[in-house]
Amino acid sequence: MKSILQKPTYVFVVLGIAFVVFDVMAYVLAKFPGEINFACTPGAYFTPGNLVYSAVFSLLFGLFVVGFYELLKHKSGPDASLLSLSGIGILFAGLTTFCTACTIPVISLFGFSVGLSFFTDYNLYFKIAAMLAMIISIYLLNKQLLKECDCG
Amino acid sequence: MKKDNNSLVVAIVFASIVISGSLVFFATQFEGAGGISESDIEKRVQDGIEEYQYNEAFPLVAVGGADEDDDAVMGDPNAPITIVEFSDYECPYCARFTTQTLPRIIEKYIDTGKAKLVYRDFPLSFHPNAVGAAVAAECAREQSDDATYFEFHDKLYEGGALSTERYVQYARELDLDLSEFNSCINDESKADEVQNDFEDGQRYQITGTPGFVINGRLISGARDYAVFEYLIEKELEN
Repeated sequence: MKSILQKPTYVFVVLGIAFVVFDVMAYVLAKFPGEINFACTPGAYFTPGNLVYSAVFSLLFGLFVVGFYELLKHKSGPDASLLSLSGIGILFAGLTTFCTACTIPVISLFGFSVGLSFFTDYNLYFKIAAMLAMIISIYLLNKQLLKECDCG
Repeated sequence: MKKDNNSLVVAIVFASIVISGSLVFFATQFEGAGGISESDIEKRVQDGIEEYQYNEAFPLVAVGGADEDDDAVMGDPNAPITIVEFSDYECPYCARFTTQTLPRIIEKYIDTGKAKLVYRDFPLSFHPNAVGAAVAAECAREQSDDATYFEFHDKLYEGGALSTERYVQYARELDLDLSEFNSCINDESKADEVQNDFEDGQRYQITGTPGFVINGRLISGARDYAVFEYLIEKELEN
């Protein structure tokens, strides 16, 4: 990662991706329902704390995408664990930027109805899990880059 | 000379006792005649802080209480406390309030004639079935009474996805005239009534669901029963 970030092109790409992701997250925070005092309220998650979280997550996502691209350039497929972890991180971050309980209280999977309110009830824990998943993914990606092309 | 000195000492002691006694006497008289003791000041400051905190926590948004319109009412119409609930049938927190908190409020305040509940609709834009459910409940009420409305209301909050099939099923369970019910749920004027409730809710600073105006004071969200109890008791005191 260190050597990647020494290339100005990659730095700009990281920032560009981060801005796009941040814009999407900020839009969701401002327009989608959030939860405040156990009430479904449009835009309730548009708080300074959530904006900082979105900014940090967007940067991590940008870093991950650039690292992933570099790995593919060296014709090496990423580890399954790395992909799964980053997927979990993106999923959790996505589902905690709005109030799932207010938006999609129930989803049907294979004939079973599953409530998604736990994403709202344990919002903070899922946010931390999303951030950790992205950080570990980037760490694993960096390790693989060092192994494959000594370009980590 | 020595006798004179003794007299002087006695006179000084006497004068001191009389003056001190007088001061104490006047001080107590002054306090009793409208003076404020330290404990009084403390109490007044404490009361002021409590009142400020009360007004901050439960702002007065409708002097004299919120407009009840012609919506369904549960309880004694002359009850001293009026709880106007603005709710959305697709909102999970409204369901939480209905199933967990409302039964306790009914038991302690509505059944005893201390409070009444007025149910008004506040369908949020991101809940596509909320208006339909609100109209269906109004149609159930139109054929019967407020009690039927609340039975229909309870069924809607039981869970599961809202749909026209479910509304018809509930209407059947409540022995309503199905052809009348079906034509009613397609009646545009019922949706206008729901919209009117929504606009009134916005007027009372309702931004999310559930939202409540209790004797003109705003509470937002499916808060714990204790919060509602505190506000209702305070309003009963007043």
